[in-house]
Amino acid sequence: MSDPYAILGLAPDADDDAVRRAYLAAVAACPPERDPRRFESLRGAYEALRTRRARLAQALFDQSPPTLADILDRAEPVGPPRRPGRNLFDAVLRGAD
Amino acid sequence: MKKARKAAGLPKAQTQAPDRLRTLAEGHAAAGRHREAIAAYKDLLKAEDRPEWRTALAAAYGERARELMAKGMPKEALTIWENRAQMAPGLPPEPDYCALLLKLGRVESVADLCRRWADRLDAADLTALRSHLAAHYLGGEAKVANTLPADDPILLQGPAASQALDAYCRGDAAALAEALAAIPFRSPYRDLAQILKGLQRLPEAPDEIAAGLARVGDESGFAPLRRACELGLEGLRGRSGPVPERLASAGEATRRFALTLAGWGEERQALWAEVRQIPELDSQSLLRLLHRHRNRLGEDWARHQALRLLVPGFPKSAGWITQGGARRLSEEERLLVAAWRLEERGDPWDQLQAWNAYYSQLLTGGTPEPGSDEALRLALILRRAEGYLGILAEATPSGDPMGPGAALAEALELSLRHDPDDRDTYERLIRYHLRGKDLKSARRILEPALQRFPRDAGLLTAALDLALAGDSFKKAARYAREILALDPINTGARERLVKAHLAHARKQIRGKRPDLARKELAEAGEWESKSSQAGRLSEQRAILGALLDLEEDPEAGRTTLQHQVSALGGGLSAAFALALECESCGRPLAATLKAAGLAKVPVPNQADLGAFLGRLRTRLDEGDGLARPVRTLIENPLRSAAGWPLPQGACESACETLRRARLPRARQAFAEVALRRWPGTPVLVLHAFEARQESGMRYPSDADLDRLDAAWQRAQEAGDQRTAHRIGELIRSLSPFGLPQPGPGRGPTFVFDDEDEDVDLGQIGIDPEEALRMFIELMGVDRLLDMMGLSAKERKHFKALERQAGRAAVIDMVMDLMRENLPDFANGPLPGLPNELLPRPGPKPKPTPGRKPKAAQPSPKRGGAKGPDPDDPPAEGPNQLDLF
Repeated sequence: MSDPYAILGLAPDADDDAVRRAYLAAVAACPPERDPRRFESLRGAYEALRTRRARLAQALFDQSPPTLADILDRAEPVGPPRRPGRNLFDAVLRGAD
Repeated sequence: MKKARKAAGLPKAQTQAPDRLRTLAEGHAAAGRHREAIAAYKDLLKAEDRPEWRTALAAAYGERARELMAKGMPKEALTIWENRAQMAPGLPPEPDYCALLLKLGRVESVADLCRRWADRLDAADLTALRSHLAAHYLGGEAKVANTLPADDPILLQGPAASQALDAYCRGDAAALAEALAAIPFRSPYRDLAQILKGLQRLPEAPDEIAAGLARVGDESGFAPLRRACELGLEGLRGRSGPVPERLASAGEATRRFALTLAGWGEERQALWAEVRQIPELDSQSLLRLLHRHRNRLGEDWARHQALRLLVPGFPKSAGWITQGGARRLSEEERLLVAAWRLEERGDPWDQLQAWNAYYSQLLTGGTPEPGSDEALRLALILRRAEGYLGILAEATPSGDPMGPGAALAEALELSLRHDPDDRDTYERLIRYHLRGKDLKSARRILEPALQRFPRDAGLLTAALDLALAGDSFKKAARYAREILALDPINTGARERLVKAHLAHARKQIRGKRPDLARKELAEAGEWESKSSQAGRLSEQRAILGALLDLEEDPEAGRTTLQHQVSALGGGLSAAFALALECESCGRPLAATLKAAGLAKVPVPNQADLGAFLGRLRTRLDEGDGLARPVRTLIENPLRSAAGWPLPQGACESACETLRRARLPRARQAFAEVALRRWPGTPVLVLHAFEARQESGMRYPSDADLDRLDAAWQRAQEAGDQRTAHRIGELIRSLSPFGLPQPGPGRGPTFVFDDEDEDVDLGQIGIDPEEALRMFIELMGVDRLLDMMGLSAKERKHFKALERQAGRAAVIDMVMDLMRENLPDFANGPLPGLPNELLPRPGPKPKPTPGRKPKAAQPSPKRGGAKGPDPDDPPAEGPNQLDLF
């Protein structure tokens, strides 16, 4: 995933404060010792967006092509673990595959 | 009951002896050829119906059924299982058979088997079978209840399990705990309880949850649920990467369960499922996908991502965007993608032009208000090429029109109009102009920079450096004070300030303003710190003070000066320090040294030599050279000190320092003495050779070149690439046409080497006539005539001719003169030139008054080898003509 907005779960019009808040919240939820790779990705996204100039530059000069993960995240980012519905439980218990 | 299809082409075995048949059947079974084993055992049973053979046949049936299941042939597998049951009705049903029945939806059959075989089944198998029934019952298979007694635990505990599941799904922890408490330990739903307890803890402790899930065995009816949970955990762990392949290839129910557990919503799952259908996910497929889902993804976002997909194939890829139905590229978009593309190619000019074109296109909409997003965007575009290339950060302005430095600097300066608050751009530009000594441009940038950032230490430091570069010492001192007010422990600024005061003091001494000079020295003293650099500055301050004393009161000054010199060791190092200050203040060197008691600079002892070399290195490191009088002062004592027994590293270091200081004779002395102790050391050979060249020896001998070549070889063998490279470059530079390369057995060839064989210029593609003409051009006609022995008066006549007829005509005359007077030249101006290319005799020069030019004597080595020519003129020419 390369879209820093998606990594931090930010809207395209996020300002400095919003970027900082999102970064701190993401790091608190996923501290570096738990998932160093994710932390690295969060840090990179924060650096790419933390100032107004950086955000404008990111939009102007980042030419990395979108990955499937970027498109999926844009459509609907991965959230916290969800509880499958009873229907899904029943299908798996019945061996519906 | 269907009959299993008999294997075609199998040998008719029933006619064989039972022992042979048994051996054959066992062989097939052992080798995994279950189909053949079944046929063999059936033939065996026809011969004699033994229980053990029947059991073996049942086992072969089981293995074959499993084989078919693995191949994805459940119906065929079921036939085999049913054949097994019919052939061996006394054998209990195998769990795999029951699992297949359940998979095919024949739950009642399993429940019936379970009921009929309850007393005879292995306990573990029965438990597994009942867990399967429980899972299906819980999953909504009501038919399970039809064949089980009403008091069966599967039916009795089913409601509690269902309540637990519902409670988990709605996130009701209390109800879940209550429902789980109602499920006994030995319940067929025990594995479900284990799984739900784990899931309840998500997203915490995923490793512990995985360990809990691992306790549910593969034989359990809840194993599919466990696997789905494990895949969900896997998805959670790799949430920032692609979907794990195991998860991607799972059945739909399992995959949806796992992805949901991993945090995927319905929309994401649906889009992912759509992408899975695309055979090859290349740029064009993604472009179509982006366009198809642009409403969900956001029109602008999808368009911008589409542009990025065009970069690798641009400009050919520009047409792809319309293939999915999107609009064609606008001019602005085209220029942006072109600039992105050109960044990959790396040519600075192309990049600069591409970004400037994009800038100009954006500017057609009008100049935005500075500070607005539009203005910032313009500024960023102008800075992009430099930001990407980083040329100005290091480069020194060269005035080279082919270099992009000036254009990049211009773009940066223009960017400040749109975004005047970017302090880094100011500093980069100031430093760039400072490196190029373009103080005017640097000041132009500095002024607005300091207006906007008056308390920025970096910009103040740049201002300090700029003031020092312009000899504005007062201003420099003011900036240094401002920096120190902001950052009192900034040693760099402190040293700069002290240096600024000392420089100002020198300026005042030169201007005969001792009072002002003393004031500057006092200021310098106040700011001195205790660092090592400060110690050196303190010495300089003391010497300057002594020079002032000497100026004002010669008697007292002498005493002070001698005291200072004594404090510095009183030797070469002290004389050097004093000489440097004399030069910088414009004081008479000899008189000052005499006053200091150093009328004759002593040969340094070993300690003094070390101190001197350290002082010299510091001076050179600061980029300051040595004035000629200082070099003259120190070179002889240094040559005499070359004999001190320094370690090899110190000798090499000394040679290097003396090279940098342009003291060739001292360097030669050090290198030659060191070579006597460490013969053949490549770097010392290099120093000795270079120093001799620099000292005035024009043409090296063969022996010199051989030594150099051998040193190159040794440096290569020792892995000393730096020295090998330096020697190699030197050899190449000595070669007149750059052809010979250093290497074993290949010494460089020199046209002018009197011991070398002649160089055949014709063979190396150089016209000898032209070469000679060029040589005379380089040397100058007058010098050549002088070497030929012509008097000043005769040379004057040629000069007059040159003014009248031009230089080329005079060179022609001189060459004719040489043809006439030099027999070797007449045979060929240079050896190897074909006769047909020999120049025809041209017009003779006018007879000159006075002495005629004397004929040249052939080179003793070349001419001597050929023997005297009877037509040779008397050999009384000057030896210099040996050159030809």
